[in-house]
Amino acid sequence: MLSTNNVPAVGAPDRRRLRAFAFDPMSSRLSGQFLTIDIAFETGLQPGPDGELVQVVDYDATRRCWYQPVDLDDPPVLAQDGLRPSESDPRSHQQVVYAITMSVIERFQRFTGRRFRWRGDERLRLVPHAFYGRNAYFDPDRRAVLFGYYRADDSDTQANLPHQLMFTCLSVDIVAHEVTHAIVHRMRPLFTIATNSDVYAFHEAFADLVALFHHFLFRDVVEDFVAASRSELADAAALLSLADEFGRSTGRGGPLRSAVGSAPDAAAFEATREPHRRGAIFVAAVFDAYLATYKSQIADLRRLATGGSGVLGDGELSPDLVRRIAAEATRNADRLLGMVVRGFDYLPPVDVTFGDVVRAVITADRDLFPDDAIHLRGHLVESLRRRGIFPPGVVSLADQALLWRRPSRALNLTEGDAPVDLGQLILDSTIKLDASATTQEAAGLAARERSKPVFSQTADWARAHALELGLDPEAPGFRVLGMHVGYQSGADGQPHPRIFIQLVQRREDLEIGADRDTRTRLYAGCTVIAHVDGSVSWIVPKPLPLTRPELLDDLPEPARTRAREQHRAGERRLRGIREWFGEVEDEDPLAIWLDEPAVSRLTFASLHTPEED
Amino acid sequence: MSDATVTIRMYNPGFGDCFLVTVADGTATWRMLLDCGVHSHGRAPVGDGTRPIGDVVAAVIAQLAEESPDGRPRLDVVAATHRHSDHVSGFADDAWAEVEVGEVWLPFVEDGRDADATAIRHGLVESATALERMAALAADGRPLESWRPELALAMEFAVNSGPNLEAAARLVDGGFAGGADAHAVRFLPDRHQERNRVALPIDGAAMHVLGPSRDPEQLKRMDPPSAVRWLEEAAGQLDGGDARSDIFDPMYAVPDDEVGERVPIALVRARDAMRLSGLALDEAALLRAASILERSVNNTSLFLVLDVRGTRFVFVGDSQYGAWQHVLDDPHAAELVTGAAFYKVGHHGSHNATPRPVAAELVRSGGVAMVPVGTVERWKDSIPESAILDTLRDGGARVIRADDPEAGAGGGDRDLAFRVGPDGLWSEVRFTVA
Repeated sequence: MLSTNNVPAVGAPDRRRLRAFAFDPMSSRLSGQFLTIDIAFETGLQPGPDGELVQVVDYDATRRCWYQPVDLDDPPVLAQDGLRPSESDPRSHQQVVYAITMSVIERFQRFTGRRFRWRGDERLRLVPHAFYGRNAYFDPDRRAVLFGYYRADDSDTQANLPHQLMFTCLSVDIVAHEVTHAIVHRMRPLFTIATNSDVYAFHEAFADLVALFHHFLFRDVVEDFVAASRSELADAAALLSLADEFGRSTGRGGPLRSAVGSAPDAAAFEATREPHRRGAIFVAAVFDAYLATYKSQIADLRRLATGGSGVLGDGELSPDLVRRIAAEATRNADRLLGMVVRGFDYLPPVDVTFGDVVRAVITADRDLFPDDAIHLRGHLVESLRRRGIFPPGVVSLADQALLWRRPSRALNLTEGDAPVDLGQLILDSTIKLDASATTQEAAGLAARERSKPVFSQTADWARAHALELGLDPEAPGFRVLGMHVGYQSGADGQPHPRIFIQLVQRREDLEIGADRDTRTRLYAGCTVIAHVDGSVSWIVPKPLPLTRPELLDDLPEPARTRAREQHRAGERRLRGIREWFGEVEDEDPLAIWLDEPAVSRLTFASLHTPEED
Repeated sequence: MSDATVTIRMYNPGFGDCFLVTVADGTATWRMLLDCGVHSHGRAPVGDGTRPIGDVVAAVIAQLAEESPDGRPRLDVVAATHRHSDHVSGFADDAWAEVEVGEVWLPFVEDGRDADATAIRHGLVESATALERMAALAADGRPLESWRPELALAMEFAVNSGPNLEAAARLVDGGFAGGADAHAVRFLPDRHQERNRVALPIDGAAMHVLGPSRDPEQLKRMDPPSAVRWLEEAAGQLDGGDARSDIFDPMYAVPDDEVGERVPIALVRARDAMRLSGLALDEAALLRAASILERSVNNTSLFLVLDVRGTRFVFVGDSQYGAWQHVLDDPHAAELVTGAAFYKVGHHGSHNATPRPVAAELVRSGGVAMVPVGTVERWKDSIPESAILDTLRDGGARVIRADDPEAGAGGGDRDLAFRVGPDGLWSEVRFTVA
């Protein structure tokens, strides 16, 4: 706890500054640089650190021992931006994982326009020295990110000493990557069911993207990059320190390093199956878009600095120019990452593909920035196209073709047979947004009780409009997986409140396997995006075949045509899922021996295992 | 040219392979024994007990002696498809020392003079030994019966892939009648492609050797998983006892008796809720590595097609996905394995040892697929996989299981020359080739 020796007492600061390696111990050693991470000051932070959102548990399962938890409110620690990071002091490791995690979460909050909370307010646990091993992964069952440590050997990067201890928890990239997995899991819990090859690939790509763009948060570092690359930033190697120190020995970052900055090849994406490689192509495309917008954004600065020619002279850039360009580079990273993150709420609740991601990002961005004044959307669509990433079946890459679909007729949450009373939802979402509200007020038991009726009403509404949403009115299992109001700012600077609802329906009748608990669950799902008056603006369905398709004959047009399309799409999706399960079974050496489906053995732990096969 | 006969006798040791193949034309006869082993947990039930592999060995030798003009048991070829116990354990039996053998055929990975092979073999043995050690470590002194199923399975893979020293010595070093000088050992496939079609002393009969592949990409699949090395490193950290080094200066570690006062209770609770102890030796990773090892060894299987005047008999050992891919990718090889009169179902009928897309075309209508399998309770739903056997039947094959041969032999529009031995010790089909 903070000491209060002054009278009258001095209030707690707004921000807490903590140091970390830039971006891992090896590169920090070479550059002599540390990052100073600026995060919100949590009052009441306990030793661990143990805060409102995360809890650092420094127990080593291999050595069966605890390491002394750090107290970040200790005055000597507070007075010097946290402990100086050191490989030999585990308390500084605790500080690093806490600081990076909080900074990633804070960035998410900014982009999504709402305060971040874990499901059921169950904190994420960070275990910086969980075990001896070349791995670090998010474990949804343990609700934890587990970091391994290991001794370097001859195959590890040259700049390390043989047999030196390597701590995955000290890499900014690895921490940011793993925490992003946890955040994605919070927002789309069913993305751990690998119903197609993109589901985990998306998880990986998104985590890499956040880690990569997180580098731009640190102004000193960006200024060095800008100065060194003479504003080009194109030398990907400098920017892409993504887990460099750990890259080779943990098998991380390899596909990413080879993809980012490579020449686009439209056929490569289609031909690639392996999740990390597919994900890397997506990240590379976003990075291409970043560079394209960045170049157009700094063109004026270059002209100003060169008397209109735009051709920089020899020698070092002026520090003023570097500062201005670096600021632009950072702002641009925020724009691009923000655009992708905002798309998140527009993703389907299950079975995501990269094609869905493109549509979600474009739809979200168009809702907020209809004019695309700085051509951000245009650059992104073009970069994705050049790398072969676009939704199957689209005939044009104009915004119109890439948007999600509107309902076939006007649809409103507050009207019809099963209306939803949205008042409480909007009120609660607003309370959660208020930084001065306590956790208890925002998400305590009472708040949860209050939200129950709106959830059950919404489930009834979904059943009443099932065919429209790609769900099956004849089958059981309707569930509201998530429902919230987001207040994102648009081009006009105004908040644009939107209601985001994730609906799912488990279709046990289509699942294969005797044991309903261990077999792979199949969900139909639909994300509904509505205005706060209840009118539905977009629907994002993931249908499955209807149990009684003949019901559709009685529907009026145009609902009938739409519902038939959904039913057929559902049949295609089910076929695709089954084929994919078969592929996974064929590749899985355990498939013969165990009843549990091979797909459920795809976990973050197994995906992050170094060069297994 | 008179009619030739091909007789295939499948012995039933339980969960294991043992096939006697006899090709005859008039007075010329050629005999091959393909594998002889049983899984340690899969012996066939007989009466109140189970059938020891020695009974199968004795029956094979007695049969050979009976067919021999001078009463001395004799085989033209002994082939061991791969080193798993359920294919070679029977060769440890000393009774083999009296059998005269013309040639021993082994997959090239067993070749002591082949550098690629030696590396793979050492890797496999080391991995198996390391996995065995780690499984024992993870079990922490508990008796085998009380092991968690995942761990027990990992251990089985390790034991099955481990060295079968006596069997290997007999096969590689000349443990049959007359010793090493009396017969040749052939490691297949040969580097010289033309030697992978072996002419037999019967008019119009040859054996094609289609696998294991020597392609470097495929060799990588036969390599033991590198994950074993990482796991071993982790296990080493546990193993050290007092010698184990701390990773930080001891002043940062909290001694056990001070945890209560120095670590906040909220953190201790969080640790307990996470059940972290399982992380020290990751059993899921152990099992995964062990299963990759199991598949690696399966994919070293000899893949043989006996061709008698255009009628083909396919023996695939335990080739799994990967290894099959190599065969099917070669049009000539793919043609040899489809439309066969006989197919020895791969890996006891498990699902990825018979590729689904071609399963219905492997055996011609009226042909025979034999499944060397005895039910092992734990795998009863997956081995053999009924969908694979159904697909073979759909293609017109008669599917004969070692543990219930009569059920599969009936039906079809032609009568099958089919016999079953006493106590179900063997089942036999005979084909006549014009």
